[in-house]
Amino acid sequence: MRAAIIDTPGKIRVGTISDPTPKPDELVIQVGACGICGTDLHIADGDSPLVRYPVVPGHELAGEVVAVGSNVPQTIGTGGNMKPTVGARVAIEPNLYCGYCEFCRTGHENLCLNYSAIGVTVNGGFAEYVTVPASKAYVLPENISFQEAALIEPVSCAVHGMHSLNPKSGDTFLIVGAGTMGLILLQLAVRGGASRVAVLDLNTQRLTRAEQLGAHRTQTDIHKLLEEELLGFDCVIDVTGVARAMEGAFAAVKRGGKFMVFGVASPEARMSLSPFRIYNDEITVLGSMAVLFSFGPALDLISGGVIDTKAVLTTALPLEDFSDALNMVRKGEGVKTQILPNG
Amino acid sequence: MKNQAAVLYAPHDVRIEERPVPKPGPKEVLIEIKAVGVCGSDVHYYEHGRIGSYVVRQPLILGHEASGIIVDVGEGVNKGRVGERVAIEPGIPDGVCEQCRSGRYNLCPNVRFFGTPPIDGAFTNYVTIPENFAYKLPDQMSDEEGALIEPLSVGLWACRKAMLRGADHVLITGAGPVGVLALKVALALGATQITMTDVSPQRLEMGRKLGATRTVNVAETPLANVGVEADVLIECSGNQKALMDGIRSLRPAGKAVAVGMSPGEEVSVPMSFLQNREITLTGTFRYANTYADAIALVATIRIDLKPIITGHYTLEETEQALQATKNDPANIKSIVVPK
Repeated sequence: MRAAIIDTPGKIRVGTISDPTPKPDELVIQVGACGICGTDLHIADGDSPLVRYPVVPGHELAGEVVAVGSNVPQTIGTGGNMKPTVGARVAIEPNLYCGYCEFCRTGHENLCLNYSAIGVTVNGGFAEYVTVPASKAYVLPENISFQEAALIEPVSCAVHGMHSLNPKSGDTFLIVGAGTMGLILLQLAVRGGASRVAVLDLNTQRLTRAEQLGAHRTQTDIHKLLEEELLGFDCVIDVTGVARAMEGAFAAVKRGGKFMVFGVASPEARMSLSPFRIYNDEITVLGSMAVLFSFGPALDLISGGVIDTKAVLTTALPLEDFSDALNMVRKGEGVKTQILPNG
Repeated sequence: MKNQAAVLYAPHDVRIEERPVPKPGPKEVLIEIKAVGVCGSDVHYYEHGRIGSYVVRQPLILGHEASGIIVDVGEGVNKGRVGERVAIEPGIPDGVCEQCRSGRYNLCPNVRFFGTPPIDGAFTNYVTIPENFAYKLPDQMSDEEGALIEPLSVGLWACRKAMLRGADHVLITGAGPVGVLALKVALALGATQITMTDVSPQRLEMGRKLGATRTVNVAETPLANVGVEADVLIECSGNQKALMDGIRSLRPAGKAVAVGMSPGEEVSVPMSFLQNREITLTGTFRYANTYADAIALVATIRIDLKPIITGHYTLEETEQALQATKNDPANIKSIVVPK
């Protein structure tokens, strides 16, 4: 089969590797769509410590079951129609947890000490076919396309973020960064009971999109934003991963409010916050990492029409154009770029 | 290796039989059982052959509160685990259903739970279990304490569902094993006032010894006459009146957790009282993600389980162990120690 392969950091090619066969508890998926994430850039650049090269990246994927291992259960997920049989259309939750470390055993699987993931430590979805554990497959309703289904993974990260943030209805929000994740978080906030949602980004095209998706205010300058919301915001979410942007955003947290770090900074990055403000204004600072019991809810949010997928799915390219697609993502062109490995 | 088992054939019919030693499959461990606690549900199956829709239709090995030592491992398990002393979490969920994938594996409809028909339990010498359901016991914890991590988990889960906070006043109705374990957890979590009710003076005496600040014998004094104002109710008796009176003893915004199983399908609740005070009422079904924390609470002596153990029996004496509680209410927890 054809696959996008990263042999070593910086060495990216589309080549031919052997077709996968399923282990007893696995399915083989013919990939319908697979989204490119910032993590894929880190894998290509070699600054992701978990990766085992060579690797086929791709963890935002959906497709059709074409082979079923000998020990796969009859039904998975909800209801009697969730059969992972040949021909079933599925989305894949890519995170693989060990099940026996302290964090797995206390209900924090996303913090697993032996964390591994499809498209990071094992071959992923930028290929014609991929094997996945059946327990990670979610059977899709008819009304979701593979491209929409490949968006479930990023939406499930945002849903976990909202579960962690636990906002009150009527809260005001500031979302810093209007890329894919910012635009998804914006939609969850607007449709989840926020009273006013502001979005900050330097890219005015992205801000236009944010306005179309229901942002009440958009700005390129945080000081101007604070002239309009004098007391700041109940919930401020950083989706940039840039320490300086976070320091600026922290100034916009209302007294008693929450500041969530959602964007991925480099492990070496440091930011400077006022401990006095955290104390005196009773500010909660929290993080949100990947997916935790949020994949099913994300699927339901998309199939229920709560998430506008069209606004986010801007680009789809064939597998052979993988390198060009990575470069587009690097330059910040469009919003979500996906690969359609089987045309 | 010989594998003896105490097998329930019918109510009041337990036979000691030899069974084949099970082989650990991939990612499983073979455990030699060292201690098994007797639970009220074991006694119920022994007395009645069923609990609700769970019916003993074929010979069944009871017992689900167990600890032991790993003596062999299946494919894919680190051989270094052989010799490890472990507590066994006895309910194996399927891991693929909606409940499992939502983090509520205790509600998995396909769970395979020890000693619940038709899944055999731990009144035997050897069992196999997926390795991640075998939890390493620290050296300072005994095999018997390891076995009681299971009922302790029930108490811990109840207190978690109640969102119990330090300095809370907790009302525990029913001073049997689950009630006293809930009491131990509530104390460890910082409850400062704990009122316990029961109809047995011996059990209330035990509750006082274990730290209850007040006990009420509700056979003599109705709870309503005592004037309890609790933040949390943990109902451990399964008695309808205990649930009703317990809810009526809650402060506004209190939490009621129904742990005890009621004999009937339906019970009444004081609805307008519940509405006017915005009381939260929930049930619990077993527990999830409690083992690591329960072991830590015992290992650090925040919870001392030893006073709860009131009798020891060999595997051949399993039937006597199952009868012990009925014969004497002062018996809290009987332990079967297979050889």
